[in-house]
Amino acid sequence: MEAYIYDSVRTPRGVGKNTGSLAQLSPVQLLTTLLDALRERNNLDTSLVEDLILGCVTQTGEQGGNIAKVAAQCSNYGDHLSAVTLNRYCASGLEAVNQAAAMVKSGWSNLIIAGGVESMSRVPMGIDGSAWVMEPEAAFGKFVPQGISADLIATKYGYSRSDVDHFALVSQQRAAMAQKNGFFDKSIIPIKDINGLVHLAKDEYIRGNTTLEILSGLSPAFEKMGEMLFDQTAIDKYVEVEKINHVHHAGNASGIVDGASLMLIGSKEMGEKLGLKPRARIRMGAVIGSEPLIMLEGPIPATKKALHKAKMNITDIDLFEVNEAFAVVPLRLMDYFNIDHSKVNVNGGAIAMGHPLGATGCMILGTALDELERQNKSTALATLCVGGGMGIATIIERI
Amino acid sequence: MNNSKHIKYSVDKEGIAIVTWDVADSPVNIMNEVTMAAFFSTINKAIEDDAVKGIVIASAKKDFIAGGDLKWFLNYDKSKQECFEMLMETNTHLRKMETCGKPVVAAINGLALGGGCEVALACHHRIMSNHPKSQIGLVECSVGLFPGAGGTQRFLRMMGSQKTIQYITQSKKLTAEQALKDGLVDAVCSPEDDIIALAKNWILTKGTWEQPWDNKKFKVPGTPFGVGQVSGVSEFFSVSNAMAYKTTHGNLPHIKNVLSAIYYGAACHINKALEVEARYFVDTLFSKETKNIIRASFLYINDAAKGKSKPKGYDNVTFKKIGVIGAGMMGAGIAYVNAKAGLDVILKEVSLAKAESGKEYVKTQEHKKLTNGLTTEDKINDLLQKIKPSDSDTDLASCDLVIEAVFENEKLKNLVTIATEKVIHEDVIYATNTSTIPISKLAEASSKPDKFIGLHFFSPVEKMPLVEVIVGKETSDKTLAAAIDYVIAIKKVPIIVNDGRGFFTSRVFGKYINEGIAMLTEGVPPAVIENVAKKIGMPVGPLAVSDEVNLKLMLDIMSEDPTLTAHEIQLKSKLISIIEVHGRTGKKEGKGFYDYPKEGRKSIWKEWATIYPTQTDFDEEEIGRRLLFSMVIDSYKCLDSGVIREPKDADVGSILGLGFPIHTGGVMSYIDYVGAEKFATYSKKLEHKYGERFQLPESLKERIKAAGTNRVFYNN
Repeated sequence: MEAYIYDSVRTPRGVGKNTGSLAQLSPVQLLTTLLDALRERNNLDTSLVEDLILGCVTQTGEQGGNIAKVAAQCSNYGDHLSAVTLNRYCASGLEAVNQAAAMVKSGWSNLIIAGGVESMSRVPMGIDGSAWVMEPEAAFGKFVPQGISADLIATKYGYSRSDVDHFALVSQQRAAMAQKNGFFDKSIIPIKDINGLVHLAKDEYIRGNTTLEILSGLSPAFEKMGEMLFDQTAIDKYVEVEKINHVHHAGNASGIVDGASLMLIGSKEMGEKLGLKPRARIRMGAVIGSEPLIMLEGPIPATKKALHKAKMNITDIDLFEVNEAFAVVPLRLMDYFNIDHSKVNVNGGAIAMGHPLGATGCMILGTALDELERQNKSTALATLCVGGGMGIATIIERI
Repeated sequence: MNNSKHIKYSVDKEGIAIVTWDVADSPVNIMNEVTMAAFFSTINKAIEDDAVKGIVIASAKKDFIAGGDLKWFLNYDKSKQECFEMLMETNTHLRKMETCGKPVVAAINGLALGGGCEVALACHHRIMSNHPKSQIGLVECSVGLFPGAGGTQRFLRMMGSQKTIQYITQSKKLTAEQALKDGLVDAVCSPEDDIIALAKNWILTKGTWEQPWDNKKFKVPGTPFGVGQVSGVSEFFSVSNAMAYKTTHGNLPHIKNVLSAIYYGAACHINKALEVEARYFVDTLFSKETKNIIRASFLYINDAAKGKSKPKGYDNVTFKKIGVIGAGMMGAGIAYVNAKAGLDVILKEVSLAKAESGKEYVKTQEHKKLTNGLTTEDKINDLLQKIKPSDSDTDLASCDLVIEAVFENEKLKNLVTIATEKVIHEDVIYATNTSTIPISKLAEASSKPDKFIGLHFFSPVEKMPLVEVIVGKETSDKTLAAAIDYVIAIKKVPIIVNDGRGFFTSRVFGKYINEGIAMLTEGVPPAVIENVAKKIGMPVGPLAVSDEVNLKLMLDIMSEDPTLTAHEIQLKSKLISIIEVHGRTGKKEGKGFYDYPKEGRKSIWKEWATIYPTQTDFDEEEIGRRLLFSMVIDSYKCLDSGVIREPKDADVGSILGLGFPIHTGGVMSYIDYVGAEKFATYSKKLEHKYGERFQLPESLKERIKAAGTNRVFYNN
């Protein structure tokens, strides 16, 4: 059996601070907006939707409990709709899609909504704590913050500050261009208030006018923290590194934003029953674990695994979405597989638009799908590096 | 009145029981099985006596209670289960005391460190005398342990996790005023006050008997919802883990264990939290690292600092006035430590201006301390008055001891010896500060070679605690004994070293540097060499040390050494090429194994990778072991050939002089730390791969064989 994507929607991304446009809305409200949109766009018989699988990273406060079920309760889909919230850190949104696809492919379910949500303005990152960062058994000599890991990768493979700043600039320029040309409009659902007035209709984090001068003027975000605390832990593990070159900063790492994304995933028969045309087939999904301290090297082995399982080669992929958690992550992947930048993150990425943790995975897969259709190409691969040392990759193919 | 041998007990007419620590046959109130049992049975008596309204815990000694007997811990031979039960028994008694319904006050009249502090924390009220020498604190981490009588948990519940981790891991001692500010004690009195009367008065007027943590609403400060629930707390633990790792490289189990005891204990009720502490304490006590630290620091370094190696049968010699010849870095530093120890110093140079500049160094160092609030103008003036700069030999005539600290040049040293001996009294000891030139050779210039001795100070003298006391062929035992007395008087730690090339520390450290350079030339990436060295616990990597020493000097020393091995001769030719072809010498020239930019930090010279093409594959364990084994094997050779008299001298010297990792116990203990048989096997492997320098001397092989599963050095 196959699993098909019938629709893909996302919210615009709001700046993840209390001054951001989406800070007024709860993550549940972001989700119900998208659930409403999926029903309306597809004239969906919601009684046929079996499950709602959502990724969300900081599951506490109003994202705590099982936020997917709260969203299901607040939607008008009906009491039959079950829901689960999962956390695979930054891969959560894509993990939800993969799990939904696996359920459909196995025949256990016929129609699932998958996606993710994160309101980083209302539920700050890290507020849920973690044994990983504080419990001596897990953290002592083992844990470093992600930024240190990203800087470690840059040092290990020799990416300079200028390399990562250049990449960031291109991300901003591509995102601004794509926004201007309406490339995101197919999926973005404007967020409206109780009166139907629009809160936000476009990603608001993009800084299309930034320059290399501006970027090169920003101070490294992890240098002080690294030198005071964490660099030694990293160097003791990677003894070939004399000193960590702290190249990442707010301008070449993913932005903190609010947002949500959903996909409607079902079997062929279910699509026919609903009268929906499948947009793409989910060919393969893969996750891997990797060394946790350097943490962000997962996309390469995850990509390899997904390709291998799908019996495909890297050259079979037309477009790549590599989450821009830090500029060095896509740079490293491109260099490793020798992929031209013209195939990777063609409409920018999280450096420009932000990375709403639990939602991003599903969002970038949706962006890839829209772009495949726009360019009339066939295959895309989305991949993300994941906290704690993991990687995820998903391959889709247009019908 | 019912008195035990160690604990005095009385009840006054107002119903206040006074429990007084006065351990028999000991200058301090030491805590051990016997004294603790006596203490608890006395406390029980007070608890059970209905006439007793409150309890004061006091001391008849100058200090309060001195904490546990480390020698007993080192030789602890019972099972982990028994150890746990012993700790829990103490906890049960202290819990009984703090929940007995009667107010208990600690009258802290002097030092209350370690276990003494822990007993005080289990009281409801603490009064502390502000005598300048009174200090309170949990200092167990400084000897490889951590508080095991409830200290971590009560401290945590009084001060929150941040201060608890900071104070305990750093073994911080607080004065009475600081302790009051932190809430560790409740009241401060002056040494003249009747502290027991104050304690009684508190019982009679205020006398509460509930610990904050026995209140149902109690929360550990800073953890309103329990540990792990609040962002601020998780960030703090994250920071404290990283900070502790940064300074220990994970080599010290007691540090990780104390963090664990605090972390896991914070979420528990006090009774369960005490269990957590006990569990981690047991694991710590049974770790070889902790035993090594206790043995090295508490026993051997302490013994050495007290002059236990001094030859028997000589009375203590006191010194009032010291002559220091040469006012360079070493001479000035030596003058400084003498003045600090209250001795008068004649600081003699070829010109008065040079002598003054040596004194100026002392002034500069002291002013740095003043800026940090560590001294006062008056103290500085007193100190500086002790140092008299001079350009005349005759000023040395009145000195009790003369230390020559001129350049490392044999001829110059000889001239100074001859000139000085003309003016000094014939009983006066003449010491030379040298790190390389054999003492017996220098003594040839002396008319009184029995009074001639080497004192090898380390730079910077005011910071480095070790002094190698070098015995020449003709140095008398009387001279040696007096020299030991002198080193103790200036609060340094002496080890006795018999004359030989490089003595002990310089010689052994040379092997470390050589091994580092050898690996570089084999193609081990220099960053790996330096990082691995630090990771295994050395304070500085071998290449950075070489830059400090300077390759030219090392080459000079090698050139004068007729005993070089084939490997060393080969290494020497590589050094020549590094110096002559590549122009790399050391920090002084700004071009060594590292580059030294005028601004910014040093960084490894990038060209090494081209000169010695780097291996991408390297065996981290092997690199670390090569560095340490090279020192260990050479140290054993020092012991074998009599340069070092006892293994413990090598352990003390290596820790204090070379920064050899203390968790291994020092260069000799290291063999047992690795495991003697494993050590022998690994040495053999290194010998096959890298040559005869890793071959163990026959006598060591025999000792290892004879030891079997026992230790080669020391019983525990």
